[in-house]
Amino acid sequence: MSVSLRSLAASCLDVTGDFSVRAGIYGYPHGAINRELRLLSHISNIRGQAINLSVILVAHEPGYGGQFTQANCQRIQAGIDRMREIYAQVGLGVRRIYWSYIPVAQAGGYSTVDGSEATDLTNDWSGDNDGIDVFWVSNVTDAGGWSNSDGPCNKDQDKVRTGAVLEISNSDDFTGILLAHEVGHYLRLRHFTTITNLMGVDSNNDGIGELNSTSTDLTSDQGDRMKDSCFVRNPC
Amino acid sequence: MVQRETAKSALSADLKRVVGADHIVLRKTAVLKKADAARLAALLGQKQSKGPDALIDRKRALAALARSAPLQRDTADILGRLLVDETADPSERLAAASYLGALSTDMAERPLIAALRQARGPFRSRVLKSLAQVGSASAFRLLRDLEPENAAEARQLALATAAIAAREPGLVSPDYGKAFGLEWAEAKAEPLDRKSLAAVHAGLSGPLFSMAPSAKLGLGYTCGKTRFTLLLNDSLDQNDIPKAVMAREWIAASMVTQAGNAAHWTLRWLVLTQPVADGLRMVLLRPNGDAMFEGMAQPGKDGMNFHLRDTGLERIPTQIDGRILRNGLSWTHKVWRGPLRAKKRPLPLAI
Repeated sequence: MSVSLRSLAASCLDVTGDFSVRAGIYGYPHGAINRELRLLSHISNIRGQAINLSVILVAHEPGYGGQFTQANCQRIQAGIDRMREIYAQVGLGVRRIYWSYIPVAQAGGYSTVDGSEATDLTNDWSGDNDGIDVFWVSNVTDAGGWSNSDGPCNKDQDKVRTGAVLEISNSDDFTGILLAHEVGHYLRLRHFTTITNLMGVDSNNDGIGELNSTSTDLTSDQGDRMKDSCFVRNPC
Repeated sequence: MVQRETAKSALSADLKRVVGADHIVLRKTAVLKKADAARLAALLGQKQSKGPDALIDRKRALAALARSAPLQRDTADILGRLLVDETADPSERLAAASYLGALSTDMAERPLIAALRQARGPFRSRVLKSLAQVGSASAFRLLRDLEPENAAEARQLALATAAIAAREPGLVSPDYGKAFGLEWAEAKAEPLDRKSLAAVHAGLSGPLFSMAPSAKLGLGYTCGKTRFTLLLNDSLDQNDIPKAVMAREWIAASMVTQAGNAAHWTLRWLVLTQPVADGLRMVLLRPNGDAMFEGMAQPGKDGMNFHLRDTGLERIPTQIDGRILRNGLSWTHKVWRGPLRAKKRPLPLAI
């Protein structure tokens, strides 16, 4: 079945009027992306069962005047694209990307957080949309990122972490793996038994996961589990 | 490539696992062996590539070094240099500011104070937090006289000065109430004369769950534009109220209110009491069953003292304290006047 890009944008992404493919269809408004974008497979992925992401930059200002440079935002874009590739293995798309920010003046001490402050951050703020909240901060002092195992459907729930909180990693690839991993937790996944799996391993059984650049596989069981989440949207 | 492999092989397995650029241990809580910490300090002291050839993840490396060698001068030097390096990656400077807060005062305080003078925004906030962690009298004097840039910073300054004063003998922090904005408005109920009480009875807009109010004993106070009257159950022995309430369950009293210029009084809360093993359970219920306050009355010298907490159904925190005396009651209603969380959460701004 053929479908026009314009009608797809309107029906699946709520994007109308003039738009660029990169910003309108992919949700990458921060300029060039250092990855090969394959439009047909992207369209196929976002039209199936999919989640939406609510990307919240903590202590950002328009014109990249806060804690995030354009390169940082481009790394997040690339990370999202890597995540899309990983989730596509199990037929789960990442459809809409809602970008928003908390201004520097209102970010308080949330540029650098530990696990407890990560919970406070997600309690104090949430994206006004149907995407899983992913907060990007400058530093997470005690982890690569924090999420919630089987995250709550109600983002306004108090006292529990209602989103993932991440710092930008040192490469596009790792940023994507870490993003996919933490959102994976939110979508009900637990640490796994092999390092090549996205959910990594807990090699010394201390509850602390480990990943490396090969941690990208997902099993069909994991895919099914993710698709049971309340954040998964129907095909469009 | 060969060079990189050589450099990589110079990292021990533990070091690769904890800070290697191609490996992530998700929790940054590892403590390295002494030799690894020394190697890491040496690596962090050098200019490192941040590109695909990077050997280590610098932010994780800073965390690991601060945790593994907090007493080493090298650690403080590396973090301190980063703190004042305006050309450094902002997120690494923030990390340095954070991890200095985990070192000892003698190593961390001076670079933090120096950085505070120029620091703005999130960086300043983090420096303040670390000074709260490790600051001494020198930091206290500086922070005490610092003009906060906004309300959030005022709270951070208050915490920092309070934390330092709590550590350092001889220092006194500002009054906690003022410093942290802890303000309560207090309304103390006064006994009503029979005539006033009769007027309230006459103005009641409806029944009180079959509770006949005492014609002798009632307390009144005003909170905002609302008048409150506590009507005691006439069936309680008003010559020994503590004994009476401990005898069985009661609707011991009803709180009725009169809003603004209204002529009538309406039932706001029923005061239910239930004797239990360790005292008297008290619950204030709305007529629809919502529990608004709860607490215990405990026997004291001349009666029973009670403290009732609100259950959070109303946005503004309140509490009620009082005493049940042999032939009367005291009742003080406290209403929070400090900063409140916004009714609606703030929303991030769309890009």
